[in-house]
Amino acid sequence: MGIKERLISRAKRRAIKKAAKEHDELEGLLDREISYLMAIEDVDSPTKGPDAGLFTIFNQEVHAQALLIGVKEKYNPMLKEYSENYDLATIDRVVNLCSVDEANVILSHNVIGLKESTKHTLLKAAQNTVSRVNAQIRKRRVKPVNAAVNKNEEKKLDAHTNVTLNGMDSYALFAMVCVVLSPDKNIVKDTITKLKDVLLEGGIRSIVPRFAQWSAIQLALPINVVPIKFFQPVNGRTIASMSPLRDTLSAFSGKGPVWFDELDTLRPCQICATLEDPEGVFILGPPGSGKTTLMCKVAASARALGHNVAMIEPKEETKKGTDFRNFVREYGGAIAIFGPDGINPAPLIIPYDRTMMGTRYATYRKAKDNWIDTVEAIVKTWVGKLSERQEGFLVATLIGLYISRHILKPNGDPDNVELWDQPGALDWPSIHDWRLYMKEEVKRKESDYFNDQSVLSLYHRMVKAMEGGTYWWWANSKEHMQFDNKLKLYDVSGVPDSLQSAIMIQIFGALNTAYYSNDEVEDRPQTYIIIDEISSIIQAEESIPYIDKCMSKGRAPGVSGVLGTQHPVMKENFVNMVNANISNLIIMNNLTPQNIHLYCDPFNIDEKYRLDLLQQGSGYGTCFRNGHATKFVVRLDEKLDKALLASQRAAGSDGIESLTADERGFAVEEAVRPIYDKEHFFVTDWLVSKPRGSYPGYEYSNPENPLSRGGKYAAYIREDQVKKIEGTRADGEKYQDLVGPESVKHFVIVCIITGWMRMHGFQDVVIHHNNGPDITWRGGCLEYEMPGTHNSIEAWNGKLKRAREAGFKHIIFTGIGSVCTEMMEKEGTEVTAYVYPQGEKYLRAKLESIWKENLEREGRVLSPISPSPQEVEA
Amino acid sequence: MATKNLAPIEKMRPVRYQPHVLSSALNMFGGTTTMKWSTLFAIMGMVDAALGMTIFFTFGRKIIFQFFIFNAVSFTAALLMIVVFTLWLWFAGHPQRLDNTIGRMLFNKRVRKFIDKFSIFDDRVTEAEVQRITGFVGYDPESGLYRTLVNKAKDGFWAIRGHPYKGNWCYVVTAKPDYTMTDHQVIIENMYASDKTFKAGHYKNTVMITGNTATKVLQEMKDKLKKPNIDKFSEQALYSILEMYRGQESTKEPIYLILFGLPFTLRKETALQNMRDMRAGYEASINVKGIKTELITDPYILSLLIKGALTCKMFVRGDLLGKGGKFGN
Repeated sequence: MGIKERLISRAKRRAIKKAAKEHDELEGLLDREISYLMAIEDVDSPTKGPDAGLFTIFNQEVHAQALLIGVKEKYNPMLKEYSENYDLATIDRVVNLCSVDEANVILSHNVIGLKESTKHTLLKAAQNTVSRVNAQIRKRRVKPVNAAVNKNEEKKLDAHTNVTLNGMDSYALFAMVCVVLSPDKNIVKDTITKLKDVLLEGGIRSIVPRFAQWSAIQLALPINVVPIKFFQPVNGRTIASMSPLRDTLSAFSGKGPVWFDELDTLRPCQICATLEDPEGVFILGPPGSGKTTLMCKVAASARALGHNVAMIEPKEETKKGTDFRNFVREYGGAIAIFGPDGINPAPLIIPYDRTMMGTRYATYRKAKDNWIDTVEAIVKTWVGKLSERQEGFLVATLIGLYISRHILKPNGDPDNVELWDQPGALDWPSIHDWRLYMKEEVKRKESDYFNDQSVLSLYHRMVKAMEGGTYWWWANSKEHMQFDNKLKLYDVSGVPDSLQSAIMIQIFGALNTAYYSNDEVEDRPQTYIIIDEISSIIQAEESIPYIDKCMSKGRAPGVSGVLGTQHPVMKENFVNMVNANISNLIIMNNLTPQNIHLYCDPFNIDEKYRLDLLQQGSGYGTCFRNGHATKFVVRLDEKLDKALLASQRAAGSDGIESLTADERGFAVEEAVRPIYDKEHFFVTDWLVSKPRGSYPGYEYSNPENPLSRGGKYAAYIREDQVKKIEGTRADGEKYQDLVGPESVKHFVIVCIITGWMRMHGFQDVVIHHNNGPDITWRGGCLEYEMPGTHNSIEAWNGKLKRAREAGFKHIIFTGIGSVCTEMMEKEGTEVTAYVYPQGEKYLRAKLESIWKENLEREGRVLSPISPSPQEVEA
Repeated sequence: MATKNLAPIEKMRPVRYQPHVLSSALNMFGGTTTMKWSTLFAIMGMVDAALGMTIFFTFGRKIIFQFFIFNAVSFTAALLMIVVFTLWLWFAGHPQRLDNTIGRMLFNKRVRKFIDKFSIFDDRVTEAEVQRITGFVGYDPESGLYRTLVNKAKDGFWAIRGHPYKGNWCYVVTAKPDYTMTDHQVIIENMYASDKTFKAGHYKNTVMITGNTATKVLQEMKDKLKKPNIDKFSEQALYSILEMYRGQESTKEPIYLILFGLPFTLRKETALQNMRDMRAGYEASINVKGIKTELITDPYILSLLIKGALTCKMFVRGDLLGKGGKFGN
């Protein structure tokens, strides 16, 4: 380079330096606050003690520890960054584990793009190193173990160089950090240990860097500080596989019933059906694995959210099993029992519900067309395969019969549609009527089927529908199918096996027709059709298209099918239907090495998931969805638990009334129920069941027990009872809470005293809010005085006077100690003799003396808990 | 269709799905620490040898037969010999111990220089030191582009001179993956295809921060419960389910952020062009693959996310950037 060039270059450098300085100054002045805005206020790194360099403390309270992922242990280089057991799904588990309680986790995936030439330099450097070590090996200058490691590395490097040269992979600088933060240091340590274990299990090594915690945390934050010491050149597909951009449960959250809880984190998972995708579910599991429990959980959750649920029970449960009937009773559903003893909807009545389907003429026409197809399938399932001529005869007679009964017009369009869903308004035909019509049609000379014995055989094959025949109860029915209840159980367990599939098609067809999506009806609820033991239904070929219809996308919008079976051996066309249409496959645990291939092979379940399915325990399983597996557990809430327990205890009986809780899902003692019903107040001691931690919709307070020394109650008042008005409370607070005209404290204590009295058998105990004493009972009254309210002598004397005039034998003035002292000692007071300060010594003693007096007078013994007399055996 | 005795996926995985780190090819039992340790060992050896010679020459051959304790030179030399050996043993007796000592010394130095320990309210912490915490020194509210300090490679790197990323501009987007329920290999292929569009000299940091939003699962039920026409059985069932998940409302759901570091330039226009290229290139590519991204233009949101994550006080209600979203505590 000549002098001239050097001078030009120097001038250029100076100019750039000057421009940079000016730029920095200008920008610095404008954006000075950005660095302060972004910076964390306080960072502390302990320099002494065992934690020196291992933790970072933010704002004097949050402990943080960073974990470098995919890093070789420096002092044990035999253990590589990624071992042979490297599992592509490890990062999923890490992401799940990051959702720990009481700790925040930051997972960071850092990549620096490299130039092609740099990548080649890196590869070349690696090859050179290997060659150098090879040369050292030849000269016997390295240890045997190093030689072995190098040989292995050479093999791997060659393979990857091949892949890279062929353009199938490349390298980039990569670093991954996980930071766990929590105010509790032990939680941080535990979480880091768990993360390390999960990573190690997935074949990835990780270390906690000592004395470099803050720079590791900087690397984890979304800032542009890049400490290069943590980076290493890694192949592109490994970088892609380590990306945390995969929220494994995102598909399980949205709007819809809760299905199960993810096993690792116990997060509730929802499967959210939409009009476009019904999200059908197929549940497979051996007996006792929790299939029916899972179905009931889904039904309960869907019912709670206001969806329609139709459950179909084809099996008769034993007393130990879980059946749908008691569940449906507990959740206020309706049961339609099919069979000789039930009410059987007629197969020829076109199901229609104008509240759900609207009143558009086109909808009636579609319902009619659907139903004619359904009836055809019902008959085929019932009597077996038909010839083409028989099929034509079947449809022709059905349409002819409908026309003759003014259900269809002569051109085949619906007639009298306004009367379709009114029972008794139209003369709907039965199967029996249809049979007779068929016979007449063959006899009619103008008919295409005149004297055709081949079609008349259809009439003979339906002989069980004749009067006195075995299916007469079904064939002669003229009942309409009802869709009024949101939870409905169709119990077909009492139906003969030969007819079960036909009736199932009838139910399916009705549900598909009734819940057919319609623009006219807004906000249509989603409908879940839940069928246990589908294998007993799919015996008939014709039933599969009907199941297919409710499961496949877009064919029955708004209807989601949930099918369950314990029989793994299924027909091939059914398995194909499941594979093609069902988005979610659930296989329950409890499989055995002998049967696991029967359950897993039809659905090509990968080997790596099979070990989990062999584990024992009811309610556990794996949900497969688009090739991804989620392990889950089915947990029961209190109500569902009760419903299923009742089901197990009293299957087939109606003895579950005792378990029915009140409308809020919990119940109080019978003696204090009037207080709960009228005042919407209770304390946890009054509950029949075990108290919960919270009662949504109720306001919590923690008052002192007015009848003991120092005891406290957990009390709840319904939120809408409490009126909040502005003002200043005695203790200086800004707001005043009132229940009616009284303060909350007054109300609560009066209710507690009333409750005690009712539990102890006092007669006619009533709370008065507006006038008169606070509590009255047969022969007595009680006035509770709060500090700062009505504390004039005239008011007390007036109350006493009115109580005496009312003829009360026992008059009690009570309150806290200071108020009582005032009532007793103030000049001119007349109530001194009637004052009993709250607590065990005075008020409780007085009330107990009245109670004993009552007992002696009535001459009977009352239970302090249950005032109602017990039944005694004769 | 039925496939029996499937081999584990690891066995079937082609070589490109096997992880590989190039630095593994280094001589595993060599390394800088060992060299440092060997050097120190040699120095310690030489010092001890010198001290030994001092003692020997002070006493001559008598040292072998009698030890004259009152000779000051020999006594000091003997004492020094012991001290040097003990110090060596204590601070550098093993490569790991030496590494620990060096790490501790550098760490203490960084603490003294307000790098690893600081408070922005401390008067001794200068503005330059505050800037060094996050590196942010300027921002453009219109484009969401941040100007940052340039990274320096003090540690160096074994095959690249200096720091491989020396950018001074960056921007941050939120990400929302929607492709999760597909096969791992499909995810990897998608991500890898997108990564091919990621240019050299750029930096990408995908951050997952756990925050509290699982409440939304239960919120639907709570909302339902507030409706006036709710029937008795729905109400019972909802109360029962809510009770079961009580206490679990703080369950974390992740927030994803991606920081894109752009190459060094003094001109903001060039930086903006780089940003546009990145958005139209890599970002558009991952958008096609099912990862929605949205630019964060407000530095206040980013600061709340960073500080919220570091102080464990972050919760996000509603959409991260949508209307009505609330941040911070």
